[in-house]
Amino acid sequence: MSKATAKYLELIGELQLARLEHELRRVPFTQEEEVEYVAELDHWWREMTGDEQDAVERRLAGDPSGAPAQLPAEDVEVEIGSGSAPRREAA
Amino acid sequence: MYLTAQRVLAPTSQKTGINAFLYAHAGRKWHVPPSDIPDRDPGRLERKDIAVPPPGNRVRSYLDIVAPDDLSADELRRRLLAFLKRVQGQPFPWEAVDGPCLFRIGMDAELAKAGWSREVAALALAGAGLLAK
Repeated sequence: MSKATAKYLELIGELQLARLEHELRRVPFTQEEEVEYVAELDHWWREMTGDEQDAVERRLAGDPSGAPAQLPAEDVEVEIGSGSAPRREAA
Repeated sequence: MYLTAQRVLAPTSQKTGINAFLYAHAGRKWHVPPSDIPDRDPGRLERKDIAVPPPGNRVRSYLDIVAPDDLSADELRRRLLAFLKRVQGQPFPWEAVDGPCLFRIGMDAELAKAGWSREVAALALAGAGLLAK
């Protein structure tokens, strides 16, 4: 993986976390904050070859590996005061 | 505490929503998460917030958090973000310990493809809402 590709993917990850952190704190993610990331993302995007850009687009469009079509789990009723878990392996 | 939020889908009505559960472990304190929580000992259910009534709904995603009862919400959020920074890009399910906390996240491919961070935010906010009640 080239330095440009690695930096681009690292920045995308940081951007996702920054957005998430703002959402959890219920604080808006401002356009100014977003612009800082976008400028740097643009820089590293231009540093990549066409093949590298295609590979990054494919990677970002795909789902993270390991996510199954369906989780093998279903929920169960749990009463207040109970000591049982709210989900179990699906039958 | 064991705090879990899970997005479920009702098989007949196709209604979807996030159910959250808060379990307490009275008298138990730890610096590293005990290995029996939550699988062998989820604790005693103290509160729940139900969007789609169980049982029998398909679980599409979940966020599990095991943490000391007295951990502040700010500290919990900081540790969750540190966990996510560490695991993002790895295959699901995600699981790791950060200090006294254990985090686990799983989701189906459709939710993951739509954006894992959006789903984690929804689950975490549902959990935070229950914690704040």
